[in-house]
Amino acid sequence: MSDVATFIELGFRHITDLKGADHILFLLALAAIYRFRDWRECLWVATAFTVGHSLTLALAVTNVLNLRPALIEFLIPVTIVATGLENLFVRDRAKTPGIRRYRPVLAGVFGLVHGAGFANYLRSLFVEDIALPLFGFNVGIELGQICVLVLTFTAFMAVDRLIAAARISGVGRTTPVRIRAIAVSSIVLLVATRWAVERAPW
Amino acid sequence: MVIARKWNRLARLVFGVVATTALAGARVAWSHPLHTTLTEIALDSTDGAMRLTIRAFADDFSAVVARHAGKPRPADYRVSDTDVASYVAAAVSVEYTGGRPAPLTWSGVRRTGDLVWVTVKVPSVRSLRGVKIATTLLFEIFDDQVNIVQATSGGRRQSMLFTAGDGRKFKAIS
Repeated sequence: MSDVATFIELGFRHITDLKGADHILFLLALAAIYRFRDWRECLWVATAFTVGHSLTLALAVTNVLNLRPALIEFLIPVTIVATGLENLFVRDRAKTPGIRRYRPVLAGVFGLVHGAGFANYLRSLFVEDIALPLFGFNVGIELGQICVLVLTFTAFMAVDRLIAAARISGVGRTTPVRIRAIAVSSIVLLVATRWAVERAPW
Repeated sequence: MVIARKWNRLARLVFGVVATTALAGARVAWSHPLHTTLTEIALDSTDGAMRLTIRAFADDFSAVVARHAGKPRPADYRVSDTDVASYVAAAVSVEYTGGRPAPLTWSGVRRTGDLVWVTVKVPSVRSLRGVKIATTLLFEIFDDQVNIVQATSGGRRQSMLFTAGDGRKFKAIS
């Protein structure tokens, strides 16, 4: 296997590992508000996350940036909480100005935090030759994210149909997508809040 | 109306169960570490031996070495050379071209920062081509462990991944 393929696989495994649920949870929070037909927008947001994440990772492994691991471990669930809250509070996105612009920016900024999360590992192991591992690892992360999003959207479609079928009456004018977004965001919010409290560095 | 109320109750119940399960599943020890080691393989022109240099994180490595030796986990990550050699001999296997098991000879261990560097040698290797390696380092303690092996020969580098899910599986250097 070529060097780059090795690190692509490493990044892919890292992002799709169910035990390291932070990334998956963040992707769930990012995707929670979208319909299947919005997949391009969601992919753009996820890519902005990767760009932010790659940037910090590059700065951290080259020693330009040095952040306290305890602070990063706390900030990661905070970004998930913030995304969940944004999902809950912004009701009508069509009427919110600049929504298409600010969500990728938000994801990019949050990506900056997540990238620092495992920078220490790569920096320690690949002391002499970091460029290729870093590139491959990030490509793997992006590919892994696409797979997670495909599965997420498939699950969301099924949930939307169930909600639509159940919506004989009694849930007012709230759309199935909005109900699903509220449910997913609330669960993500609960879990990430617990993590944030447990990881508080003070 | 009755059906709608039942659906609402069911939806709230499903939401409650999922939320409670997710919350309970979010363990205190949450984090997203990379459980990885890096082993570099090269031919040593001075003595015609194949040199394996293993890099691992000292905290995890000392834990698995102590466990292998039947000792408690050391607080300062310090383990004896004998215990390290014994663990590496059990976790890393090399076969010469043709399938004959190769002996690992101890070369040394050192520590820099949070890393531990272990060097072992395989004598009488003329070429890396066809040599097979299997590594199960730290598989005992992490089921998401991924060991990277990089073999460099004639200016060419080959990388291999060994994952905990695969168990002890030999891969050949080409």
